[in-house]
Amino acid sequence: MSKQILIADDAPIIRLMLKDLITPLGYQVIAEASNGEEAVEKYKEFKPDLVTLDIIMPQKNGIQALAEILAINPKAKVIMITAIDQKEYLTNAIKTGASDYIVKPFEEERVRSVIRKALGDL
Amino acid sequence: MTEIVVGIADMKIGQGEQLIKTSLGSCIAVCIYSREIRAGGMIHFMLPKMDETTVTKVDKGNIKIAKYGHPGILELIHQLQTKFKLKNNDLTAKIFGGAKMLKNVSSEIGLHNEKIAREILHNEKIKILATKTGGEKGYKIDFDLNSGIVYCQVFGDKVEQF
Amino acid sequence: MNDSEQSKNNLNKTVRIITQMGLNMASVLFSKLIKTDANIYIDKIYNEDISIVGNDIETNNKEVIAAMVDLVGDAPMKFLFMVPLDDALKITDLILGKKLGTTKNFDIYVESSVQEIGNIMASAISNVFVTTCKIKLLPSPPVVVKNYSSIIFQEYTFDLATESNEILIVESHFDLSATGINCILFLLPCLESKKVLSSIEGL
Repeated sequence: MSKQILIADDAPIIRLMLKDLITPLGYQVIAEASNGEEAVEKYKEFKPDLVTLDIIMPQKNGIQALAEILAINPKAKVIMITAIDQKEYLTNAIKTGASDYIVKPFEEERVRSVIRKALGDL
Repeated sequence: MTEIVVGIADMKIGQGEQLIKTSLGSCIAVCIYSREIRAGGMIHFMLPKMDETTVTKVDKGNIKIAKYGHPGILELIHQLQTKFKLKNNDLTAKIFGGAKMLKNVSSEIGLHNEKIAREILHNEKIKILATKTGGEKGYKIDFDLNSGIVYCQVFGDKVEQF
Repeated sequence: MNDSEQSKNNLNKTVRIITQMGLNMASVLFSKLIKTDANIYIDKIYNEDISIVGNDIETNNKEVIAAMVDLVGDAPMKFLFMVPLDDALKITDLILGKKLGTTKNFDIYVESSVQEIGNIMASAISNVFVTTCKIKLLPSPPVVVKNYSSIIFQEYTFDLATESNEILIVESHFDLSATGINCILFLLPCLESKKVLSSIEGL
């Protein structure tokens, strides 16, 4: 069975771009969420192998959602997606427990390698 | 026909072959007109009243009366009276705008702005002939001083005449 | 030159230099996102009366889609990106790597393309302010609106215009010559930022 991924981003175009990058790697995008709250709910429901989590989202941002997902499963693999390329900010995300991060706009090869690495396939 | 643009917190008066133009979000435009002499004016204001809290925030010594419904509308009436020797009973009014466009920005300001415009015009005994206010989309307004007709287009709709 | 003029000049200089750096970065990222060369240049940086500032937009009033972003932190600012509706369709094609003209109608992908451009460019500008000025500045989620350009501009400047009769604004245009796409970008430092920005030295 292919590994399952949850994509959380408030921009449908980014979800589409990520899906187009992830699917050819042989992974299944099991669910999508458009805000942090939905991401946590979908995580509980689908228990995916990996979550990509946008940081700037309405209702509940990515960092808050990350903390809640890790509270549900401390071993959850979560990759943060952000356009905020600020050292302190990204370090905080990693300290909170994110596996890795991807800065937007995407370097397609980096997206593939970060995802495969987090899932132990690289 | 000459075009006159009224900006935010601004007012202009004119006569005859002139078109006064503005665009409105949560702001209100009051168009005041004298059919007899084909003269009129428009104010585009942002806030209902000039009071202590608002005035302390604005640039010191540079108060913009047209930013406020009160006393801005009274000033517009005064300018029309002075320039064209008009009395209040020569004048009629039309009110536009006050949309709640960006829910997180504009709040209830549009409603308060409309309320103050109605109150002032009522107190000044100036008849309100038409209003087109509210909604969630912006307005484009063209006030034809030759005919007194106001052409109003709400974003996405057809142009209406008032 | 008196103190107030000196302070205003320092502020304009700081905002111009950092914004130009931010826009250079934003332009690189924007080009990367749409896979097309984008040149962004600052047209104007000005202190203008609130009744006059939007007059050019009023004269060239268009139906546009826009992303507004609040930059929150030590020197709060407001960011606005506007693109005519037809051009937003083309931008969506470019982002998705499709042939120009494929996207014909306004849909969630067009809306979120503009949202994402707002997010990426506002982030780029805040990243540069953070690195260069050693301040804290983060973008909020973009608010996407579709309306006349003049009305969006008014709503964008509204909060500042209630507090001051003159605003400092940076106006920039993008030129995507190969596609004929024209976009416009504004950056508006809030009142409380002026002190912080004008005291930044070494630029």
